[in-house]
Amino acid sequence: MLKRIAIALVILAAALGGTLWAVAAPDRLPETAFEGLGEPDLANGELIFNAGNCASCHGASETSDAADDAVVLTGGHAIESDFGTFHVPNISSGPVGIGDWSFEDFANAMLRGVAPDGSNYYPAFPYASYSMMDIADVNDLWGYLRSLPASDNEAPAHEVSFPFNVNRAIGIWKYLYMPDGAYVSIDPNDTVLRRGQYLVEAVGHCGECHTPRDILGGLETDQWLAGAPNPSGQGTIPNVTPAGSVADWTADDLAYFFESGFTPDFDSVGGSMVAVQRGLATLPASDREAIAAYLKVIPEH
Amino acid sequence: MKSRLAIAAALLSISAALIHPASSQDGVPQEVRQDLMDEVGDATGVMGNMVRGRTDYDPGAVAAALQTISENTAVFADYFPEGSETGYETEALPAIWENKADFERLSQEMSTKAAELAAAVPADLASFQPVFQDFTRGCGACHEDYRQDN
Repeated sequence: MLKRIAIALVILAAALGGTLWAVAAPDRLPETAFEGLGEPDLANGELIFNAGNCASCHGASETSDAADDAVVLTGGHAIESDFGTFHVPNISSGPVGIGDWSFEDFANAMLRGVAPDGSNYYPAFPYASYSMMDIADVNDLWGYLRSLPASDNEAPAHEVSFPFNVNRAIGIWKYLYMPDGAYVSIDPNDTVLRRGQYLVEAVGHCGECHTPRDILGGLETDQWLAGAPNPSGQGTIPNVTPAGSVADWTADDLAYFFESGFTPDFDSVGGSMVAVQRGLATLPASDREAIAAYLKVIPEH
Repeated sequence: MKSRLAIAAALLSISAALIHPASSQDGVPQEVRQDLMDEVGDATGVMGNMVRGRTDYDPGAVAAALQTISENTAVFADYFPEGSETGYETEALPAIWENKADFERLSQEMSTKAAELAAAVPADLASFQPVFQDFTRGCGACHEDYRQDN
């Protein structure tokens, strides 16, 4: 009897393990996802690039403060985390970067977190947010990235220890945390709010810093944008819900902050938000206003 | 013995006071630098509220605000001595002490630029807006690396 129970348990464990293994397999986009995409619109690609602030992680640190210089996406910036140190890759247009990629490779990286070799990327690359992007915008971004200069800088390998270095473990993380829709519900007929939601939740990936994480590094989505400890260890990332540190700000104040970097009492933006704000300052005013409108209607925390 | 010590201590404190005469910038460095930066923020607000269309454009008030910013940022970096890295709710990052020369250079640049602009304030708001925008990029340039996220 005991032996039978033991056998049954082993079978159950194997089945469970097999299911997990299958669940954790990298999941590429279907062919149909690519239908109807035309030539990339580089102007929109640049807008997406600035809204997502790709340069603040992938850019060379010396070029990141100068908005006028050509952006060279050398990679190499280190992101320290509880799971190890991630070294941001070169995504320039050269062969060390994404020069030899196809658009399908790029779309699978952005929307599914899958590398060209079929492995899973670590979610330090915020594809959980990007997975909500429109593939047409990804196509435009692709065109824009390929118009930027090449760099032959090789970023070091990530320094991550067991079990986080098991690639299928990332598949399980994805199963648990990849969003299956928007993080907050808004009026679907309000085009301004929808634009704001898209820029905040998907392209801008604001939640990756402004939302707290659980012990596995997944976002605590019931605390959406409620603030979090700063991953750098110094200070906190503010709560930007309507009850948070921006409670007294009007939508106009928020939009002005994105444009100028000034709070309503003319304190200036600091830390990692400086680069983010510089990107936002380049967007059309209507996009900054849309982000502000969205931040005014999300749940208070 | 104890009274001698007390007298010596009293004499020492008197001589210390003589060497460093009291001024508005005496005090705990963390507090002094916070006060200096609060004044910079207020002066920026004077100009920023004009740029936002909340107050009327006043070139004289702009020049005075820029003068305050120039004076305060000229001495700002002097208030980061060793030992003032923490306390008094400081938002200063350790990077200041690791890159002291760069930090001092940025503060001086701000001071010089503010003085230059104070001497050449545009007569109308439309001409001042791009000047303000360009000038205030200097705020983020320092706060990006040297002030804690908040």
